Amino acid sequence: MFKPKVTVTKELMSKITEAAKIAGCSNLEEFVERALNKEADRVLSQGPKREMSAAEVEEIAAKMKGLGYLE
Amino acid sequence: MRITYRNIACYGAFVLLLATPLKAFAYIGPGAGFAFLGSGFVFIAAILMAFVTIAFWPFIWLWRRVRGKVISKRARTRRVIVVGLDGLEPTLAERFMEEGRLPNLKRLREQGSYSRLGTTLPALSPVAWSTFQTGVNPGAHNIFDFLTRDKRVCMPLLASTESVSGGKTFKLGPIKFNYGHDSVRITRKSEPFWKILGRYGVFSNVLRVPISYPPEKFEGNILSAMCTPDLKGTQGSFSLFTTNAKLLAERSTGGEFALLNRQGSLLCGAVDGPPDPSGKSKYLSCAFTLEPQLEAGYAVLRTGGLCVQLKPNVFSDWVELKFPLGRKEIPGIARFCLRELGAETTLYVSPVNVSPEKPALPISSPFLFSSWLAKRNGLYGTLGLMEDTWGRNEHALDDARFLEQTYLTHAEREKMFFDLLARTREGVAVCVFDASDRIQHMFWRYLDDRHPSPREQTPGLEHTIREMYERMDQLVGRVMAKVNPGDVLFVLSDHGFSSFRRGVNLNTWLMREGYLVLKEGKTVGADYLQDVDWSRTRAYALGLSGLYINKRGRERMGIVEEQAATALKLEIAKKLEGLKDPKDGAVSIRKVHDSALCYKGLYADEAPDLIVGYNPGYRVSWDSITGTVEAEVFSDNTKAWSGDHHVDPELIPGVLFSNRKLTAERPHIIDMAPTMLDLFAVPVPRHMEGKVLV
Repeated sequence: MFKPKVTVTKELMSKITEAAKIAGCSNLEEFVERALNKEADRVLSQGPKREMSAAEVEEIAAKMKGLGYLE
Repeated sequence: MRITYRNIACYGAFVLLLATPLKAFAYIGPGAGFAFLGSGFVFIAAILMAFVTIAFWPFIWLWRRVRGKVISKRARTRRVIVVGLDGLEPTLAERFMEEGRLPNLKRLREQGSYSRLGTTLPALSPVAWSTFQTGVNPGAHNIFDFLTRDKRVCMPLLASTESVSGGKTFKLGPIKFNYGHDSVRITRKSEPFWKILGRYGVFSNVLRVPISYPPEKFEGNILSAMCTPDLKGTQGSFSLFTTNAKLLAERSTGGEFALLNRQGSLLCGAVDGPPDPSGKSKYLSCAFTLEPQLEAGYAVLRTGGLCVQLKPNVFSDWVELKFPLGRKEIPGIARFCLRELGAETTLYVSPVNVSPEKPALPISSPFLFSSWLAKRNGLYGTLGLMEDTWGRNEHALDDARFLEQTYLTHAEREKMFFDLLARTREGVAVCVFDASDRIQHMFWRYLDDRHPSPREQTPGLEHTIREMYERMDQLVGRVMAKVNPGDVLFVLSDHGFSSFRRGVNLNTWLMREGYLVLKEGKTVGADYLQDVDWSRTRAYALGLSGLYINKRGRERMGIVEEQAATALKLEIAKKLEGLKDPKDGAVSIRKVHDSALCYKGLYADEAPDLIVGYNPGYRVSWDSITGTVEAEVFSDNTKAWSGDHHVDPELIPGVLFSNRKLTAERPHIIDMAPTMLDLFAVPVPRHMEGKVLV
C-alpha cells in the first residue's frame, strides 16, 4: 500500500511485460525491481566504501543463529 | 480463498477461537515485521467473511465454472500426492530394499517406478526445493545457498528472505501518524507450480516445503517451512538454564545459557522472546519458576498460569509462553526438557516457536490456515529448522534427546499431513518431512568407522539411520493405503547423503595462494571477513558452496576488472580442483564449477562465481562458511553434525518413486514442476526447463 510509483511509456511497458513473461517472473514488479536493483548496484559500487559497525555485525550473526549449517 | 467446507469450518473455528477471551497482539518493531491485529477487528472481519462465504457460495461456485476455474476434463488425474523425504540417500534406500527392510518402497518401485533423481548445483535443500517448486535452475529462482552476501559490505545474509521497509509517517499539524510497517518478503523468484495450478482451478495443500517463508498467496493453502524464524527472529535459539555455575563456565560456543536463581524452594528464570521495541531491554521475556520435587523425581514448571510436570529427560508438550508488552502479550510456544535434577538442576528450553494458533508472524496462507491446523491437530512447531541441531552440537541435548525431539516433530507433521490428505479429494497434497535429513546429519558418524566425531555409548544408536529409513518406509506404506485409483503418488528426496569427516577452509586456502589478503599484522581472520584487506583481495568465500571474485563494479569494495575476472576464475578453479588433504593424500575437491556456465536467468549473476563440488567425506569447514580465516586449510569435523551433502551433485542424487511408470530418462528435480502441471493438463510455461516425467 502506498508504495512509490514510477511511470513509464506504453512502449516500455509492453517491452518489459513481454520480457517478464519470458524470464518466468511471478509478476511484472519482480522483473522491474531486478533490472533497477542490478543497475543501481553497479552505479553505487563506485561510491564510497564503508565498514560494518560491531552492532551491525552482531545483528547479522543473531539472525543466522540456530541455522544448523553454521557453528 | 477457495470456497470449500474446509474454509467455512476454518472461519467457524476462528470465530470460536475469538469467542474465547484473547489478548491483542502488538506490533513489536521493525525488521521482522511481526503482525498486529486487534482481536476485535479480526472477530468482526471473520464473522463478515464467514457470512459472505456462506451466502454467496452458490454464486461463486457458478462463477468459477463459467470462468473455467475447475480441473480440466483433459487432466490425467484428479489428485496428486507428493511426499518429500528430505535427504533420502539412494545407496542406503537401495540396500535396505534389497535387505527387505523397506517393503513399501520396494512395492512402490515394483508397481510403479523408481529412479535416482538428479539434483541441483549445489546439492542443498533450499536450492533443490526451490527448483522443485519452480521448475527452473537457480539462476532463475535466485536461491543458490542458505546464505547470500550483502555486496555493499561482503557480509552474509539469509538467502531466502529480505526485510522491506514499509513504515510511513505523515504529520497533520503537530500530530504525527504512523502507518504501515516493515516486513519480510521471500527472495525466491519465479513461480511455484502450485500457484500456476491454482489459476487453472487446481487447489493445492502445501505443507512445509522448504523456501516458503513468508508464505505467498495463491489459490490453495500453504504452511511455511525452512527459514521461518523463531520468535526472537533467529533460525532457532535454544536456552539452557542451570544451577551449575561450572557448566556455564565450561560451555564452548554459542547457545543461550543462563543461571537459575534460587528463591527459597523455587528456581527462577526467564525465557527470551521477541525483540523489545521500546529498547529498554534486548528481548521481551517470559518468567518461569521451577520447583524441584527430588523425592518424587520430577519438577513443576509454572509460567503464565500454566503448571507443567517435568520428568528428567522427557520432553514436555508444547507450552504456551506469553511475552508481555505493555498491556498486551505476544504468544509463543516451546518445549521443555529437564536435563538434570538432583544436586544441580538443568533445564533445556527449545527455541520459542511462533504460535500456530495465534501467529505473531505470517506463517501460512491464508493467514488462518495455521490456526485451523492447530485447532484440528493440536499445537505444532512452526520454526523452519525444527530439530535443534545447534543444541545437540553444543551438548545441550544428547543423541537420545535430539532423536526424541526429531520424532516428536515428525509425528505432528504426519498427523497434519494425513488429516489434510483426507480432505484433499482432488488437487494436490504436498508435504516434506525433514527427519530423514536431520537424523542423517547428526548420526552419520555411527555409520562411518573412520569418522573423527565421538559416538555416545548408548546401545542401539548405531541403528538410528537404518531405523529412520524403516520408519519412512512405514509412512510411505500408510500413504499408499490412502491412494485412490487414478491418483498419482510421488515420493522423492532433494539430494542424497555422505560423510562429513574433514572441513576445508576456502578462505585460508585463498590466503595461502595470495588471492585473499588480511589486514596488517593479522595471520588469522575474525568472523564475517572483518579482517580482510579488500584493497588487495581478489577472491573470498562466504556461505556453504561458493567463492566470489571481488569484482569491480559489482562488489562495493571490488578490485578485479571484468576482463580479468574470467581468467582469475579459471586460475582458481584449476588450482582448487584435485586439492589434496595432507592427512592422507585424498582428493578433497572433485570439481569446481563456473557458475556462468551452469546458471541462466535473470539472477544468474547473483550466484557465487565458483561452486565447489567436494568429494564424499569433505565439506566447507564450519569457520569458512562465515568468512573466518583459520590457521589451517583442513580440519577434522568433530561435531555431532557428521553427515552432509555438499558433495558434487553428480555424486549425491536423490530418489524418486512413483506409482506411475516414468516415461523419461534421467529424471531431475527440475522436472517435477512441469510434470505436475502436465498431469492436470495445465500448459507448461516456456520458462520452465524440465521435462514431463510420467
